[in-house]
Amino acid sequence: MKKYIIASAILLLILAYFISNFLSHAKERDIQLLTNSSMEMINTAYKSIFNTHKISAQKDIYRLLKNRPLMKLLQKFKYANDEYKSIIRGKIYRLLYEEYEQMKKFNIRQFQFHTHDGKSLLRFHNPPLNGDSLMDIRESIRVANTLNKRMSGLEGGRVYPGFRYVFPINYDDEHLGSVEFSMAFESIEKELAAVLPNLGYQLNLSREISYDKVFPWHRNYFISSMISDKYCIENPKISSVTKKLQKSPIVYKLQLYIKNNIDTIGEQTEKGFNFTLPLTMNDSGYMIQFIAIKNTKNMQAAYLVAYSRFDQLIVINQKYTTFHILLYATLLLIFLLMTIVIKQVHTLSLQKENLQYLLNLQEQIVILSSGETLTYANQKFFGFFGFPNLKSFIYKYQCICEKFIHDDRFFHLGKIKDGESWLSAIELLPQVKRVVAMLGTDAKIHSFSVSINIYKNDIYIISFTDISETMTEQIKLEKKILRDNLTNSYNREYFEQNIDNIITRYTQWNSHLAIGMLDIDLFKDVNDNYGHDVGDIVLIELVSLIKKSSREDDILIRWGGEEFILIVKIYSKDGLIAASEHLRQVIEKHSFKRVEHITCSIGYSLYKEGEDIVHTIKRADEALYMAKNSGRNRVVIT
Amino acid sequence: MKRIYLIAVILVLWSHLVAKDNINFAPLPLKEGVQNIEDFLPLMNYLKEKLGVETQFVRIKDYADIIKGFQNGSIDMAYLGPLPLIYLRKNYSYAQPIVAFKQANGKCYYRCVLVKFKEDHIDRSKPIKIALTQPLSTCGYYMTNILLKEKLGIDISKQQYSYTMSHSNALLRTLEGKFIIAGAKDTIAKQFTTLGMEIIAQSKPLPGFSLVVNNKTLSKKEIDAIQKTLLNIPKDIYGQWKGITSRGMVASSVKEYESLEVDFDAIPYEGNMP
Repeated sequence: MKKYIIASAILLLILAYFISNFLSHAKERDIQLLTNSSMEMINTAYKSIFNTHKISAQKDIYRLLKNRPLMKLLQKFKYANDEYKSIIRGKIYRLLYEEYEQMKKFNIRQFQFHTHDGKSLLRFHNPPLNGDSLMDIRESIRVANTLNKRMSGLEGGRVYPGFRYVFPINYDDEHLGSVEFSMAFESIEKELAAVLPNLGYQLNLSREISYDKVFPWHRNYFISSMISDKYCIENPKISSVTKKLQKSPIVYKLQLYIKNNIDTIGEQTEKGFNFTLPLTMNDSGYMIQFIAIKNTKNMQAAYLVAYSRFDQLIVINQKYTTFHILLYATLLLIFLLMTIVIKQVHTLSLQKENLQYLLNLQEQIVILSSGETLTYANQKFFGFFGFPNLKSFIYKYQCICEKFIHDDRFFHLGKIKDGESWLSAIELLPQVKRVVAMLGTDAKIHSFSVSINIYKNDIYIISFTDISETMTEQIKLEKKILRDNLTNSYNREYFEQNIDNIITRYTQWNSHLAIGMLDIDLFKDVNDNYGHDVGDIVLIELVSLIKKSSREDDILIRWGGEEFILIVKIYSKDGLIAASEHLRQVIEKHSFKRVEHITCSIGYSLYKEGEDIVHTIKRADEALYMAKNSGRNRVVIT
Repeated sequence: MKRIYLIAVILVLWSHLVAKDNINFAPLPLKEGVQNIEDFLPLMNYLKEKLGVETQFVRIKDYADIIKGFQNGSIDMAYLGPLPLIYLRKNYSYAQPIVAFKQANGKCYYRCVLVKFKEDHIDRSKPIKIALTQPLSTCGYYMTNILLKEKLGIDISKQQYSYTMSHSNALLRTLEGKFIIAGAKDTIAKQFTTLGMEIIAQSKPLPGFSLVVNNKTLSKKEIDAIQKTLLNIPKDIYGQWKGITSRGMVASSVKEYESLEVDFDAIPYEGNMP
């Protein structure tokens, strides 16, 4: 039993592991769906902000290209000497500085012209700083001035990395250089915060596009990022975004979380994919989302990190905690039930073993059966029928009743009605009649007394006690006492002993009992003419003939001399007339040995309920008398 | 004897206890606020690395803010030109220059200059528009007035002048065409020559810009430590920096600035442009 309980526990633990695993995956999937949706929103907002500025920049470049004085100045600049270039630079500044003031209102931080060979022509955000070559460090400027194509995206620079929109400038079919409009992350952040208010946004720039690319004296603009040593953020001393985040206690805690999980996060950032860290702190849910941003060379350049509340995480956690509790409670309950079942099965098994042992000790054949199906049999059963086990017996027989021999002295299947169970049928019989005959492996027919007891529900303990020896003696005795020595038909003793039972059995439902008094016509002549020996032979032959022509239920009793009583079960008077007339004719037509033909007269009377059977016999006798007086060889029914 | 020893120990411990973790530093409002801070970031990070003191930048609008900050103790250190230093010391004697910054020529002096856009012409028949830095800036009204008078024969009081609050602003507004002449520091003005600006007059050498500490909020020990650290910055380190800090420093004292004779009452605190 212990091993079954341990096996159940192991099975349930394995089940718990798999279900728990499934729940964990389902929880992760739920969280993933929400974080993906949030990520999608931030991504969309970021892209839409970027693209809106792109459209704005396109409008600006269109306007600049229409500015003829500007184009003329740029054209002159291309061919001017250094001194004149300075003046042109000043003139361009004077021409466009108001426009730059307007651009600043729309979050443009850097507005810069480049020469056709990729040098800084004029930085409106830092006019004195010019003339440095940007061709090798700025892909967008290289593309605009060598391939004459526009470019946009995040890109490092000599001063700050920025979100750049670079356009080539062509005038009168001549390439004059390029112009760029750049936005700082502060602007993107401001607009993101307006569209999707969160705890904060932070841009983590790869060192390649920030620290490593700026002028050496600008490296202090950056400090190390918490997400990886390959990333930087803008120094809080110059960045209002970084400073704002540093002042937020919640963001500070979230950043501490990043710091404490730097290895895992570092691995993720190496891959350059978007990812989310959902977490709970002080019973509140948060998520830190890392949105990968590519630069103009389509290389991983930055991570936009969004810190936000994630209250649904608490709901999801609570939901799945409840699921887990329910799971473990259910499994515990199942375990307890299984333990109880195992114990009960074990107890039953012990009981069964005890019962089997007990039954195997019995001398009788004992079976457990519902009447139709056999559920158990003892060793005596298998020994008697020669089967090794119940399975092999059931393979061949459905019911033990199939083994009952068809002998009218015993109960057999021929004695039960269609659809009736043999158990129900045999139970209706008196105990002395509950005898069946079965063929044993010793090739002998054995008679068994059947006793039936309820075991439980519809299952009965049926025991078959071998009464073969007793039965033989009984048959012999019965023959001696209840049967006529000459004809072997029943005698008056039989009648006396059984008439009450016969009345009961034959007057059930719509059946009736009829008593027929049969007498051989002129039998005295047979004795006188042929001798008593022949008379006896006639009587024996007549009994044999009547038995053959009678129905199974019909009982023939030698009442005295050549007079017999027929006890028959009838359902109508017409049926009785037909049957008795048929018998009369059979006798009439039969050719008896020596005497050839004899006839019989028969008088019938119907038993009336509650009537003394003596009166019925008397009325039958009167009917016989009437038949004799009416000329013999006839049937009279009263 | 034991008592004296004990008092000495307590004093040492006390000095450690009260030692400042933060220095409130006010950079000069020469350029745009952020850029001004950016120039000093490397130097302040160096101080943090060497002395463990964190620098808090104090944002100021003008020199008047610096003076107020020194007086109320909210500024421990400032980057000042000679005129503001003299003015500060006139109002607050605890201001003490500790180092002066070397200029591009390797010396610790600089000049004030007058600048105009090359293609602009000075029309003396009507008031000339002049861009000034700040009232208390050396190259502001004080030196511009002297240069206009001595080099160009122009009387500033008969012209239209306005304070633009920084050297860069004065130069940019002139570049934009809003003014004809700007008065500014020579090093800054020279950066604008690539924008078509030309220097039309320059002053004699003036004592350089310096870091000035507040004697009242910083201990002598702290001031000495800061001065020593700044004077010993290796060249290969400050050479990587940008702007005024990139050429190194020399020790500075009040005496160097006392040669400037300034009549502060003659300096107008507001412009005269309509």
